Amino acid sequence: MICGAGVDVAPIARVARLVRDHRPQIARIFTASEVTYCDAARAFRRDGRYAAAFAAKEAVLKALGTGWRSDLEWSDIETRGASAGAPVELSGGVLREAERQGRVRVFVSAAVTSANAIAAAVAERD
Amino acid sequence: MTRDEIADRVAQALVQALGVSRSDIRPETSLAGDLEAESIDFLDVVFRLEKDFGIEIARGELFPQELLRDPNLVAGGKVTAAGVAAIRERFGFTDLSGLAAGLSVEDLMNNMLTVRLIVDYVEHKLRAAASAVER
Repeated sequence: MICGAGVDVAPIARVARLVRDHRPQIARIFTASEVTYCDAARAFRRDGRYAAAFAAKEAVLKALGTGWRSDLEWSDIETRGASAGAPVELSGGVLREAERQGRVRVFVSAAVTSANAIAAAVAERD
Repeated sequence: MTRDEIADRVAQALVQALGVSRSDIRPETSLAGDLEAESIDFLDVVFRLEKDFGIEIARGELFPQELLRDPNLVAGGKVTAAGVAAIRERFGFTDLSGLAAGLSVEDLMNNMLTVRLIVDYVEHKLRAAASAVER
């Protein structure tokens, strides 16, 4: 049963600036796997991947009905490329929140334009 | 570091993070309500403050969202008397005398995080770090 949905748009240039200016701290936002995936692409495509991952995380938090909260880590959500309706890997506080709601599976899909990344997430429980 | 120096560096961090003009930044300016900061902007601000002042900002020290999920602290979308007490305790480094029971969570989130609160927070963190070194 679908029990939540979320969508988010992230400006690519804004996310790229965050990543560029705070590279040592981005592990607090993106998992190691996400960083590896994003950095494997060059220039604009790389920026688009980071923006898509960020938008996906926002969309997941909206699907769970929490939005961003200080007790949840961005890196608790691993998006796995977020391109094909893939389930996201939850951990830490976000996983606890999903389990508390009985919403243990969240699926996300993302797309990138020249300026923005958009992501949609759906939360499902039995 | 004097309070004026802290305030100036905080303002510079906000200008860089949010792309706003220096003249937009006054002590009472709220990041969300006045400068329309979003989650990515808050991340940018936190990272810049940590770097510029050599401090570590733990989760929840500047943002009270998880307190606002406690049904004892918020009822019907409004902060309860217990909620006011909990927020004042968490943010004891700044003056929240204007915070009153009955304030909506939305208004709180839009207006609580002001430039003055950030300056108070940084001043408090730097003072705590300095006294730890002296001990």
